[in-house]
Amino acid sequence: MEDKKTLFDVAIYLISSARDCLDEPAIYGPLRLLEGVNRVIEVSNSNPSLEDKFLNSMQKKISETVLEVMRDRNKFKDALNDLLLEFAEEMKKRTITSA
Amino acid sequence: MEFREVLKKRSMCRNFDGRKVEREKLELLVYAASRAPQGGNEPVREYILVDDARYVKMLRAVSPSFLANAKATIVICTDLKKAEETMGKQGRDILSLLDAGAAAENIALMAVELGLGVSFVRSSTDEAVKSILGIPARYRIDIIIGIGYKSRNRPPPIKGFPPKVHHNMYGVGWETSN
Ligand SMILES: Cc1cc2nc3c(=O)[nH]c(=O)nc-3n(C[C@H](O)[C@H](O)[C@H](O)COP(=O)(O)O)c2cc1C
Repeated sequence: MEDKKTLFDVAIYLISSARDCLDEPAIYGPLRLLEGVNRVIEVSNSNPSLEDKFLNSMQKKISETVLEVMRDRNKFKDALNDLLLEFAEEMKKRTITSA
Repeated sequence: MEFREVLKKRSMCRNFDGRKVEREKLELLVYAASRAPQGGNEPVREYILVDDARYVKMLRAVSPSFLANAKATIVICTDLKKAEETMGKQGRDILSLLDAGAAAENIALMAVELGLGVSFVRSSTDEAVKSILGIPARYRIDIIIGIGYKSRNRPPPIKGFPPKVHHNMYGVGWETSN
């Protein structure tokens, strides 16, 4: 079984990614950011106090989007747009109901 | 296994199961690497075998493109000081890198025969990798190879593409015979 994920794991991933992005092709930037989100979700999943059902339900989709970048850049863009839309709708729901 | 079958089966694996990689198999992978040619025939290439899960985890943590949940890792590195002293700048910057690539490919091919999967990793976070493994400053990290047993439910490999081949002159297409 994988270890419990911590915020420190996410932080070191993001710092390493920042360094990597200086030398890597620009297209890897969005890839690293998405993987960063994935890792945030892993932290949320392994800490009951941070549980977020919506984030949890998005994890599979985010992983699939990450893989898409290696296959087809246009599809990657479409998948990112879809993902963004779902997050925007979720934000609207949260903002309006909590107001 | 026929060599052509080995070539056909070789692909990067980013999804491993929980099995540990046996020491003998790691040694065979290094043997394969050692059979690769070396420009100038100078012993400037070295290997670090990492089979302690804590170290593999740390290497993954500082290598964003290390996507595979590997159980072991071979880090191929070059003693740049020795490479420059014995083979000049070309040896340091070009020959030794080509050498490392040849060694890595030998590892990938041997892995097929051993029933293992491998995943090549190149990141720009060499300083962190050196610090984690205690590698002296004069070394260059050429490539990190994640190793493990392939998970059964891993996604199919990404499709390849045909090689661009020219015949005698650049721009003259090679007519394939079959
Ligand atoms: C020099 C080199 C560096 C690579 N670095 C990475 C890497 O950092 N992460 C990764 O997931 N794959 C890496 N790869 C693997 C390639 O992405 C892979 O070989 C390519 O997509 C073709 O797929 P195949 O090897 O399965 O046929 C690297 C390959 C080479 C030769």
